[in-house]
Amino acid sequence: MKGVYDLTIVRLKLLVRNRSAIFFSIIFPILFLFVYGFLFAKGDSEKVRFLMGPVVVLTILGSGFWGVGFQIVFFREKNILRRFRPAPVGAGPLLISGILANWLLQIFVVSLEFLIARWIFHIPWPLQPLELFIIATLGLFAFAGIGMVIASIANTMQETQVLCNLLWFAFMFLSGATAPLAQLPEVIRHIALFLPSFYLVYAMQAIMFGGASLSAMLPEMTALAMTTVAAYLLGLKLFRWDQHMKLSWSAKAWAVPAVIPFLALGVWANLFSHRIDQALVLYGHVWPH
Amino acid sequence: MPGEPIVEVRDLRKNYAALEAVRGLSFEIERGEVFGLLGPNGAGKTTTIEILEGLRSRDGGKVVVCGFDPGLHARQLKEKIGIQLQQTALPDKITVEEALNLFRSFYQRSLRTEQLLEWFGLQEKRKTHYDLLSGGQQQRLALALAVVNDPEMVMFDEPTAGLDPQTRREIYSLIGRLRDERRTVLLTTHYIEEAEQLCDRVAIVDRGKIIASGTPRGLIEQSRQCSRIEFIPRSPVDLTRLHALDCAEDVTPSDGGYRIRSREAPRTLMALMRMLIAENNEVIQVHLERPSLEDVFIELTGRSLRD
Repeated sequence: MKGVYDLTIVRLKLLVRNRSAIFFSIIFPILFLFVYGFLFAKGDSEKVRFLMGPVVVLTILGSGFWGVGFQIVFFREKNILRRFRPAPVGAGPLLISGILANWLLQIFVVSLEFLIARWIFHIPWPLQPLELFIIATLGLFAFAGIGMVIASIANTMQETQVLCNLLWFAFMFLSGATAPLAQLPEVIRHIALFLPSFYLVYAMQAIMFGGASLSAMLPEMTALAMTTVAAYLLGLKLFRWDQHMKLSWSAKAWAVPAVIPFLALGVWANLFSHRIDQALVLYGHVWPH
Repeated sequence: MPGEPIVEVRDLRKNYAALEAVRGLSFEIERGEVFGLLGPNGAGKTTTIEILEGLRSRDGGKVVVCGFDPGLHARQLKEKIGIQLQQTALPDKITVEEALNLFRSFYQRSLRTEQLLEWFGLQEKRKTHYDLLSGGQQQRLALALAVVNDPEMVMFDEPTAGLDPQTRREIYSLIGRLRDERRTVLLTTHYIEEAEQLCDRVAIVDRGKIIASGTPRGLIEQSRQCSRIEFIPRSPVDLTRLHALDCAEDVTPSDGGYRIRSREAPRTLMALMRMLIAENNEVIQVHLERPSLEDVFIELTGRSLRD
């Protein structure tokens, strides 16, 4: 465990020292907060409060993909993982430390976003900060896990970029994280139920507006937790120390288990839940027809 | 125990699909010895050393390193040995001190950071980011990380490949210090001078097999290779008289002078001097070149090490 602690601290320092990581992890999400706040919400505090869900999800999504996933591939391509290979530290501590360092940094960034939103747009303090913290944490872990899955199956930086961008666009634009669900066609709303970003946006908004308890979010929390565990196990299974260790196409099929939790949740939500209606009701509170 | 081998390799085999990378390698390394695996690229050196380090599986044979089978007890073995792989790097923004402290945290037993900084001459660079270190300093840090756990044995895979001559000499001196401390060292190299300068014993590997082993001097002496004496006299010399010199094998004119191949260079040289004095001739320049391991390799394989 000491190895995990030391690795986490070093990786956090590395993130903070990296200008590009600072821009994309801290400045970029805060810029989005201003864009959402001034452009979409026109400075209205209730609307900004509603849009904090998408802003936080954008923060979490970007950090998971680029802060965790992309960094693993970068370390592999630069022969940095090779340096760690002879030491008695396995792939587990290297993966866990990446997730933890990202979590520490992003919890700070999300808190900063709430502080700025409070200061600039005068949103009320969240009444259930603990619930928000838990959902944000589960989201950070799950999206870091998805980033790890991408890193595990991608053989090169270019491949990673393509996969990250494809998923990022799908998660952002088909889930209500950018255009609200109410403005999306019916078919897209049903597709959104298969996307983790939808549930994260919904959970944040349900807690902030509807005062939803964690027990009401149990299916979402379970799916996020299961995605984290599946992605971590997959990351361990497919971990490669060396850029020359390429993954065959057949081995990439190992990524399937990481998709199963949200596939199952999507089927359940489409058949038995009223998540779309609930999300539309929340939207209707802020943007009445 | 003195005399007990720290490394024992018997009939080691490794295949990559149809390619037999290692074909029945056997050798032993004594404690405190610097042992070199010398051979051209693709000879199977890296595969062999990675099997010994527990980083690669084997297809056959017996391997014991520091009392452990690397295939079964890689983690325990990593606590005992230091490893430097080819072509590794650290994150750009990590400092020297952070890197040392981080790697120390992975081991149950480790040397003090101060001690390592002093040993590898990195005290002044302790707060410097990795990307701001020179190539030599980065290599010194890599060596420091390889011995961070105060290992019984250190394994280096091509420790000076791609380095400039000055950095290479620095690395030789650091490895020499490991030898002085009676730590066992295993290194792979395709640099002849590295093997000659650093190793107590070498095994010459070619196409996955050991084709000769022994001390560098012993291998050279066993070979049929001759020393070369090159000299430029003030006045021309009769070639037939040079042929008649003690132990001279072959004589050819060379760059205004002569080249004599000799099995016993000191005797030939003495005879040459006596002959020139008797003829009132003088030597303007003389150069003696002993056969090298490269010559031994060429004799054994018919190819150069860098082919």
